[in-house]
Amino acid sequence: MSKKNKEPETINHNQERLEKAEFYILNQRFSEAIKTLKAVMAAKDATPHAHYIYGLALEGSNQQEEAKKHFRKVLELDPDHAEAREHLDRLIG
Amino acid sequence: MPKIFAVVGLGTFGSAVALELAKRGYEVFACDRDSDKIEELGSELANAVELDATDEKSLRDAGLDEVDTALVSFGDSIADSLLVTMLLKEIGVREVVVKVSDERHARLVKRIGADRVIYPERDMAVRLVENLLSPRIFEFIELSDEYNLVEIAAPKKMIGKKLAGLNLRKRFDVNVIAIKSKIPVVNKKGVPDIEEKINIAPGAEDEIREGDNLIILGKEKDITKLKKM
Repeated sequence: MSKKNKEPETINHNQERLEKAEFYILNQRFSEAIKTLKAVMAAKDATPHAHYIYGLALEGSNQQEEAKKHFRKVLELDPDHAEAREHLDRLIG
Repeated sequence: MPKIFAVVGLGTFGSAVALELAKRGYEVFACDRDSDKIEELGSELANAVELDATDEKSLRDAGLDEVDTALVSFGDSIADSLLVTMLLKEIGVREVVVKVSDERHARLVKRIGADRVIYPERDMAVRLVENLLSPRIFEFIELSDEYNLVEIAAPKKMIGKKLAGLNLRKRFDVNVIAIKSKIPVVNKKGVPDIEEKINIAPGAEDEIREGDNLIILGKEKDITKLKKM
């Protein structure tokens, strides 16, 4: 399989993982959301939304320091991301 | 009748207290001898007055003899803090709360009639040290030499269990005063989010969920044992 054909597949997999992680978060299963997103976050081109969802899962499981890193990353990629700004402000205190 | 407050000394702490009281709908007399500070807060506080609080007549003229509770918040002058505390008691303020800068200051204001002494820098330092040494302690209040009120992340072994089954009072001699939970929601834009909800005085049937923080009352040694669970 050529590299070109592989790319959409990866995107689809990541989208599926993201949706799955959102499902876990909405069911208060933060650790499972973190596990699900690990592969997505390993890629250097994770989207602001992926960082936000990962940050949310980390905050949910009381890993505040790690959560802050990802909310900061969201704001680096999208300075107008209101939700990430709110969570980061809350965690900084 | 709602309480009337006064804040004397509008440094960072005094201003924050005055603004928070006003935000919550209380009448607040905010006083300072520095006209710049009055000007700065004038737009946010209806009763911001420039006055020398060490002068009894000025205090009466400004109506401070009618307030229920006054906070004396001077940053650098212990002498002014003592004099104003004494004057406020003399003109009939029922409760005088004094912000102090050290132990000696605290001893002196207590002797001249302060009803309550607060030491924000020291209290914050103790909380910060607790938090730095145990990052999973989110809040710490020393109630006595023996008893503390702490907010900790629920240990993993508790997750999915009901308080009745955990039997924390019998096993660790601690009481769970409240549970703070992270409740998932979907916001107006359709984006997942989490909100913090607090369950005060939780019942035996309440279950500990992932991400919960427990607010616990107990002795330090017992809380330490519980954290290792």
